[in-house]
Amino acid sequence: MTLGNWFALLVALVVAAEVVRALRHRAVRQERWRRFFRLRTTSWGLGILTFLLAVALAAPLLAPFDPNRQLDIVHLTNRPPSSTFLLGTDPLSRDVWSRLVYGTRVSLGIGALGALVAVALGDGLPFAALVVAIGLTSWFGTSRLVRAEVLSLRQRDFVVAARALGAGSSRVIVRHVLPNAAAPIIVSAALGVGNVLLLEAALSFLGIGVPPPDASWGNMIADGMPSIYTAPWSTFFPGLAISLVVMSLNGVADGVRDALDPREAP
Amino acid sequence: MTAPGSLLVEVRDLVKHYPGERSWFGLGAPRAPVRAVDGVSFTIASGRTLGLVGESGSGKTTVGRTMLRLQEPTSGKVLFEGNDVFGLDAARLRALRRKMQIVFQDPYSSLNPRMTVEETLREPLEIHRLNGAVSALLDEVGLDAAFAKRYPHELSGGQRQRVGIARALSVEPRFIVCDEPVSALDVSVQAQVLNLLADLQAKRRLTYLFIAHDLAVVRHIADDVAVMYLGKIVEHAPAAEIYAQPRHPYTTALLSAVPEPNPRASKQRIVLTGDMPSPAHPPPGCPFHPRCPHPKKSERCRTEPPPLRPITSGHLAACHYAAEPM
Repeated sequence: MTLGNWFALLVALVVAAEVVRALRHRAVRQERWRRFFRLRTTSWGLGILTFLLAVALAAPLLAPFDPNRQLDIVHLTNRPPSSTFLLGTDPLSRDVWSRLVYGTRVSLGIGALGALVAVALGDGLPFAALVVAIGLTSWFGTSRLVRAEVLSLRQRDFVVAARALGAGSSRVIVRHVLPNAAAPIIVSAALGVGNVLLLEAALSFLGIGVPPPDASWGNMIADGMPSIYTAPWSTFFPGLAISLVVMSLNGVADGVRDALDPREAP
Repeated sequence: MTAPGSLLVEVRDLVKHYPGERSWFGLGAPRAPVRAVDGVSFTIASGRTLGLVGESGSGKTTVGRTMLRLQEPTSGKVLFEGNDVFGLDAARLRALRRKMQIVFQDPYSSLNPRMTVEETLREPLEIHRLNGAVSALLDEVGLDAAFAKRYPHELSGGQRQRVGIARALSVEPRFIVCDEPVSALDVSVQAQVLNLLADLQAKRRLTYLFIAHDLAVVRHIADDVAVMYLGKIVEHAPAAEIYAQPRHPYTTALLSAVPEPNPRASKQRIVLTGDMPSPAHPPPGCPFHPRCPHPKKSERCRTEPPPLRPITSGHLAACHYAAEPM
């Protein structure tokens, strides 16, 4: 790690903290934002996600080594964390920290796009193909949820009342059904990002995900797997990153749910 | 504009059957259809109130909702100011919806939880491009203008029901289906809401179909009462008549359940045995015969369905022994 890398990391942390602080400041004045920040986990989740986004954008500044380069296949495999290799090296003598930083781009990108496709479907590059594959297969749960929610809402008296007042289908859907179905859909989508991330990890682990040598958190775990007992750092840190993102998303999803629901007013 | 006392709503032989489900995941023979409403006819004169009384499952709510075309009927006709409600195209149906409104039983599910009172009341004005004021509507149902900014969860049951009534009034209707509007409320609040409905009727010259599950509530507001059992009207008479001289044993039993304020009044409670039969398999003959406490009950009741026929002038009953009531 060079001084420049440390500085960039510090900047990313400060940016994340500042973004959260600025939003919370705004929350004092606006009812909806106040409800969003009702839970402390929401702030933490938002902070972590902002930080990871900053890391993904500034990856070249944060990574001291080329993530795909095998530094010295004879002498530098499975090195423990040190000041040079912040999180150690993997069995192929690549710097785990650099790979983790670049893997953020792939994993967050696939997660976000995959979930987007998945939610949108509730109605050729290899990367795009993976996004589509994940999106195509993980919309079932969300669409079932959306459908069940809409079916039950359609029977509610306020929807019947809107029809009796002469509201057309589009008005009934936009003003009465969707706002009331939004909370479960958003929570499901947030969980969907987590699921997509885990699915990508599983696919990469099985060797049919992000093709090597490009780093994703999933194939980092796969690469580190053979030496998990002698060099646990090469699997532990990508695993930790995945868990952090999934937990952060849950926190943010809870906040969004509260923000949309007037009944959760503090 | 119809003159007071002239016919406003006419229901002719209304039938609503729900198709039976198929067994074996849709491959088997369909089950018997549920006959929710099985040939109901009545009229309501302008400015009057018809009380429609029956147990849960008697089809009274289905009658109300089908009349407003919130559900499509199986057969039959509803005429509103002479227009066939079921024959209207979308544009004319929308115009008609300004004139026919509904107030619901459950004040908790009848308001959109994501909309403030103001948004709820503003919506019908937007749909029909009317120039009503939300504050005037709130005032009319006895709510302070400050309620406009509140969400439904911040209101009590009675307040919500008032908002529901204000929403129905917003489009200036002539006819309102009140679907058990007080059944879900505390007794003390029931009287307030009933009085409000009566005041509004007098002030706005409204016509009501007032649906209820017991005769006590209807007594205060209805001019005429129709009693439903298993999708059919079994007795229909002016309110004073039906309370003084019920002709159908089912009405007699319902009346015996109305609480009597005078503890010394002699009163015999008729307790009906059993439950109402399933509307998918109504009994042959008189639909009420399995539970009928009438001493003259005979073989005829089990085989021959009694028609709804006039017993005295303006008093209809569907019982073979209506001339000799219990």
